[in-house]
Amino acid sequence: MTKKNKLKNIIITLILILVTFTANGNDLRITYLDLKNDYRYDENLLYARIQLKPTGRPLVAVKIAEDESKIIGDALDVNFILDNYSFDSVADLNNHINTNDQSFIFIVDLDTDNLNWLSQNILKKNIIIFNISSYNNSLRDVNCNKNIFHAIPSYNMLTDALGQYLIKKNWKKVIILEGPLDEDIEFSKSFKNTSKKMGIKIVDEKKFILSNDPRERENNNITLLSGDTKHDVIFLSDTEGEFGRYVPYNTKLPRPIIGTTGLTPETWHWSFERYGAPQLNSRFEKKEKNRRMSGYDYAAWISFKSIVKSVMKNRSTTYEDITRALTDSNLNLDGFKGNSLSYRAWNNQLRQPILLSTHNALIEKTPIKGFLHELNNMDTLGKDLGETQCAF
Amino acid sequence: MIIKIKFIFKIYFIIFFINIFTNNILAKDTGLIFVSNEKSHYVTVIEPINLSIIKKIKTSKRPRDMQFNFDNSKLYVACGDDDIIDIIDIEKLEVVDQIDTGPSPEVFTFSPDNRYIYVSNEEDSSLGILDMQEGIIMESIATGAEPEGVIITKDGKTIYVTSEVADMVHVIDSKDLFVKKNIIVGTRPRRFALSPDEKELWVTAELSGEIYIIDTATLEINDIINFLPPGFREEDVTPVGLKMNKNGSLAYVSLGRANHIAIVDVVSRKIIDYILVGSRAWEVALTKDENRLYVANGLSDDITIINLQNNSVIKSIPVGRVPYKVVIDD
Repeated sequence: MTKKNKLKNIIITLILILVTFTANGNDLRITYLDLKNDYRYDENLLYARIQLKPTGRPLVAVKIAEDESKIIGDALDVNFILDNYSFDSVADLNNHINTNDQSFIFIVDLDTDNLNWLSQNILKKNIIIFNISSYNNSLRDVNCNKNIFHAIPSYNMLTDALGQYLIKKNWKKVIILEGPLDEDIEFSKSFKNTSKKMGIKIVDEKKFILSNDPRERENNNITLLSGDTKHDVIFLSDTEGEFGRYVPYNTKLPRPIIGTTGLTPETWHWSFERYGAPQLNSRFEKKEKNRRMSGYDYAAWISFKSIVKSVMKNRSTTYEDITRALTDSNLNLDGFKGNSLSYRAWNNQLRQPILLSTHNALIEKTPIKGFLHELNNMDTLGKDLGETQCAF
Repeated sequence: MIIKIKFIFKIYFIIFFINIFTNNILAKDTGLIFVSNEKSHYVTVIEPINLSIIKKIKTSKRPRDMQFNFDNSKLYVACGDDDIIDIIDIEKLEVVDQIDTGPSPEVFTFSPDNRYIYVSNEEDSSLGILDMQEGIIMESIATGAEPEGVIITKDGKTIYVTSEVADMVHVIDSKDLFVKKNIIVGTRPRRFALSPDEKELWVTAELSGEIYIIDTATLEINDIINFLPPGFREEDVTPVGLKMNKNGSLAYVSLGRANHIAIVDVVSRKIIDYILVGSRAWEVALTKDENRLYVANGLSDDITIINLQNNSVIKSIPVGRVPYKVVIDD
């Protein structure tokens, strides 16, 4: 080997070392965590295609966001890396978060009880967790946690969206039909708040049970439950969905159903035709042949996108800079819903339009024109700064 | 005899009318206005004097961007849902030919030598290069997700493409077909305008409500313009369409959901005027004499015609469902 060649080899080796070093220096790991046996993804439940329920595991949507972000990563010299792990229990999941020294950003798919448990048991500091599947109000209110960002809307946002529509249509007399689950009660409580705020009259409240027992007919027969009291619509709170599917067309009077069936407040809808939504839906359906993109998929997707946008904002991958960008009201996040999205500084809730939809059509995008807020009209949906009980 | 005279008169009249008809049509610069309608799959043709609709030309599905060829004899129409560019003959006012494109063509431009079409393929995240003679896709360059605006320099050497999802402008070398640089701009970048001296590239960022002005020599961002028509909020301002006049002194910008057109003084970057138009103002077109501006209003299914001598609206004309682009044969 000549001297010249030797020198060349050394230079090449040096360059290679440098390249590897720079590449490693700019890795940003985003970790997706879920539970192996999650009742919400039971095959039979998914098959029924109940409105407001997931259509499948949202991990695939995060992968779409990862694909979309590759070229941005190249331009910023940051590798956005997606890791994912499934656990037997939320305790194991928590253990992973506490011992993971590679990542401080986690997208977690947990129901309300598990997320609440996690929120109270995380030990690790300086982390960012995204909630993609619990609508529960208390997690954004009395039980809020400054490390948890809510990409999925709260029940308050969903019922305010429905309330705006009732006001618009002047359908102001409502019967509440409520199920026995905690989440059912939470959702209808939320609707009662909305009613109070907007001047909607609740003319009757009934509790249903899922049974065929003739002795229980007052509580399981939809004709009897929907009653004679003069009303415009029925608000149904059945977060499980098995009862609700059979409510439309079974009521005593011909009245529309809103809430968990009929006209439902969705985070995302496959039939949405504006603002780039068809392109996102088609990217999703290319990856996932047998199902359509749900609100939970959307929340998972936008969580990843929120991080990418935060990194773009400050050109930095540190915890401090990402959190600063995430809580900036000028985040300017593109959620493909026509609005520029950001997180509410007072409870880390993503402000976003809610799509009032039937099973196959989008009826209205909220906030509805005319519902005004002093700063941002999207804050007419859900708890505003003056109403929140969250104190970080 | 009388019958014969009548017959001759008839023939005469027929010839007379054919003459008028063909003269009108064959004349260059007909002034005809063409509007593509995304959801009704036709191009509306409007005559410029009485502003009345004279024809609806059936196209392939979802016609969006339209461009005239070099002598304005043909109008090329990108049809997003059929993966095709339809070619309309301006004399016949009907589709006479087609070119296959990649999936979901959105915006396109011709190379200055009229050999190639550069087309953004929204669903495929690529810029397709079509050979116009062969009618085939020569090559495609990967872009960020949902590429949209495409513009080429007069020397044909550089192509600029926006990616709506990646919030960036790709600077592409047209000879060796590689991305020279990615410039990160505002949220959801859409359309371009190049200043006449090509020293400045303007790009609209729909969701952050801004125009980014890029120095084409350094490829750095020189300036950012924000818009706020009276009575609107930042969140309502979603600029998309963009045109500059011939001497590069004024730029016309459609503000989307804010339902206004903004007129910008290019040198001072100041907004001279806001003009109220229809719902979700989308693409804009300037007449050759720069006396009129046409605006496609995506959500009110009409176009608005503005008199630029006094910046007032002349008329709005209903067209098809979701009008996307307006071009003028002049």
